[in-house]
Amino acid sequence: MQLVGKPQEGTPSSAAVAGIAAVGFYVPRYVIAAAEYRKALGKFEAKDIEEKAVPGFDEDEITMAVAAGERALMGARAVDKLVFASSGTLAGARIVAEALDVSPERARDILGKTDAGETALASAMDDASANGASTLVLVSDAPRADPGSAEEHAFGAAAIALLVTKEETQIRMRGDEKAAMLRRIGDAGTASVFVSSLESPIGSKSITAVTKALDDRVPVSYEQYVALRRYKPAPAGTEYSQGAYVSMPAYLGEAKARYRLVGEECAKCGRLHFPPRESCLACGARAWKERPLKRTGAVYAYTIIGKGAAPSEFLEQQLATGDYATAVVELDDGLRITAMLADVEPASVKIGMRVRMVFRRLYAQEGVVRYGFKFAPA
Amino acid sequence: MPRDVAVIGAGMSPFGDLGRTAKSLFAEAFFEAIDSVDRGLDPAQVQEAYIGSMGFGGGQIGNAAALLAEHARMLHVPTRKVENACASSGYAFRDAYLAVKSGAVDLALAGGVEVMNDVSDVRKRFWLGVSGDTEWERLAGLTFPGVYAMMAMRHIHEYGTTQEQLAAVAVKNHANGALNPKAQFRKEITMEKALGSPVVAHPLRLFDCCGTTDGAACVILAAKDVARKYTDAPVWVLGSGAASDHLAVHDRESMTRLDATAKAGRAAMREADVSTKDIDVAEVHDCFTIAEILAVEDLGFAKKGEGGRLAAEGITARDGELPVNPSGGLKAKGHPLGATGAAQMYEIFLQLRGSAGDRQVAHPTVGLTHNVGGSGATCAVHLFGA
Repeated sequence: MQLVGKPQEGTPSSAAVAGIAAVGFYVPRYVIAAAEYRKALGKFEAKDIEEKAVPGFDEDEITMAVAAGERALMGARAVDKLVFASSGTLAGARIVAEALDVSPERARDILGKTDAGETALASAMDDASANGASTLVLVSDAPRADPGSAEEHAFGAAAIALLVTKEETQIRMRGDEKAAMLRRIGDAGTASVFVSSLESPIGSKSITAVTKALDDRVPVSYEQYVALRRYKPAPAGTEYSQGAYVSMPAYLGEAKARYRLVGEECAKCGRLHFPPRESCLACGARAWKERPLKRTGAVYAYTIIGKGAAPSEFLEQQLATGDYATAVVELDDGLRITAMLADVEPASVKIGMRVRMVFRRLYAQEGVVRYGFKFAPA
Repeated sequence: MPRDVAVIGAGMSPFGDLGRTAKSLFAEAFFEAIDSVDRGLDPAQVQEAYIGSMGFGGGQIGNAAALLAEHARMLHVPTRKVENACASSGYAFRDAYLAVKSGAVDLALAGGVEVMNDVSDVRKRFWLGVSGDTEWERLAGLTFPGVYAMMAMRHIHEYGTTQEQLAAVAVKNHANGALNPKAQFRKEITMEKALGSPVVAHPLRLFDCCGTTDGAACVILAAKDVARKYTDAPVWVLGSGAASDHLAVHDRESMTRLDATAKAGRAAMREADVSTKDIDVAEVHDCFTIAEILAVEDLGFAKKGEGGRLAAEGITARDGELPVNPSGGLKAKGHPLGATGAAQMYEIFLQLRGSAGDRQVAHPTVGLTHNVGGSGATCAVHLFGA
């Protein structure tokens, strides 16, 4: 299948040229081998799949899309629009847009179909050639099904970000549903065809990175898989909505800080603050300039929250994935912030360990998922 | 003109996992305080009542003070709940002290109560995490032991404080608690037991942490000229200091120093015109072993970084140079959040009157209480003299 190429044969004028200027790819760090299914269930009913990608407990289509999008936008390109495509029903465009510093007003979802990604790409191409608009197309999928069902066996996860611009095409992609990569990622829904195309990208350097990402994954058992995918229902009484409640308006009012580590610089004296505050600690002024912080830092202090000790919002996570580490991170801009650590064995954390920001699910309350930053080993 | 203020009575319920209501515990502490007034006092004579409580569990968040007052024969007395997390009744006392000192009232009550064991474990954890920065600390998965664990880790990292020094605080305070009939944990522990206990929040172990406690405490304050009517042995309030700080530890310049403690301590000592060497006994806020080490440093009893030596070398033992937490402290006596500050004053009241029984320290004339809210966002320090 030809997904994108040079403008189609017969494209009338150079004004109508559009193409993919950058590609970003994200595959979660966990992997389950077909053998683990066979060990646990006595069967694995997904032909041609040897192993498949497993999102972490704190990941979903939204966080994967952000990770892929960050890679496609490396070098700080600005985009006019954003489309979030997924075969599932999780609407993510506005959250992903905020996390990637694209106006949520210019973001839309295409959901619920296995060709959502192709639809999104086609419309972005049209928009680029007709209007000159640049669009970040995020195709992200982690299909779900009843864990007892045969169809579930195939479901993997992946996200891909395509930056579509009116410029002359730089990257060409060709999808192949029998691609070797799908045998290692699983059925990633609408992202599958794009993932497979990465195997023969023309003019792209991404393939080495993709292969390395697949080689470096952390293997999990079927039991761990079920927990990571949040297939285990949360035990009754693990969620309360009183006391330490942060309302959605309060939470989203600071979305820039929570989603992409935007600090505030005092307009009068220049002192940098994070998280946001109501008056400057140095001079008392109340006017700010936004200042995106460097997303890297080092562990200043940490603790390990052991089994049964987590605040109730994180109890479900802890029951699924065990101990976790929370740290005070000293950012490279000199400020400190408390953050949960991700993608790391808590016992291996050390003071001074280098970390980088990742965008993740934090917790769900009253059915609403709160997203925000965590820090993972750099 | 500011007036001298005395404590003329003090009472405390037993501390522990008691299966009793806040009303019942508060009334017990209150009536014991009333009964401790040498020449008697009618509860209705209390002119203002300040009651510290977190409202743990959420059962009676609004208007709790009125309910507690009416059950303690203080119907119609102006009252209010004072809430500064674990420093609630330290601040309730400060408010009562300022009211009497200013001349606004002659007799005031300061007390506190918390019932923490009548809720499910999940709810307990929920309520234990509401006094840090909810939006930025709690939502990073941080817990109350977790934040002190990070302070301990920095103290170990910056000053070479050892796990044994932390454990020495627990061993000492359990030894004291064993002699306190109202303490939650009345058992001595060994260093081996402390060091072998399970990790709660690395690097803090079970015996580095206080328990969850039900309990109440009350003290009665009177202006100097009326105090003499009630007792010949008033305990004088020599000084009151209080300070706040950044709620989140990541916003503080240092994680091994509680500036609120240092500022409150200096203010109280300035008012009392005493220095650390004049202080004979102290009840400090040891919700975790590291907290006692921070307290003795930030109050000026030890140089920064050397607080770990005090318990380990016996300096803060009951018969040491500076007895700290002869009651058993929060660690062994128990820590019913809103009652803790008033319970510290109850202990100092007994110690300065020489009526602390088996745990009496030798001839104290000046005593200090140090009450911290959460991880140090609020602190109240008071000095008392016989």
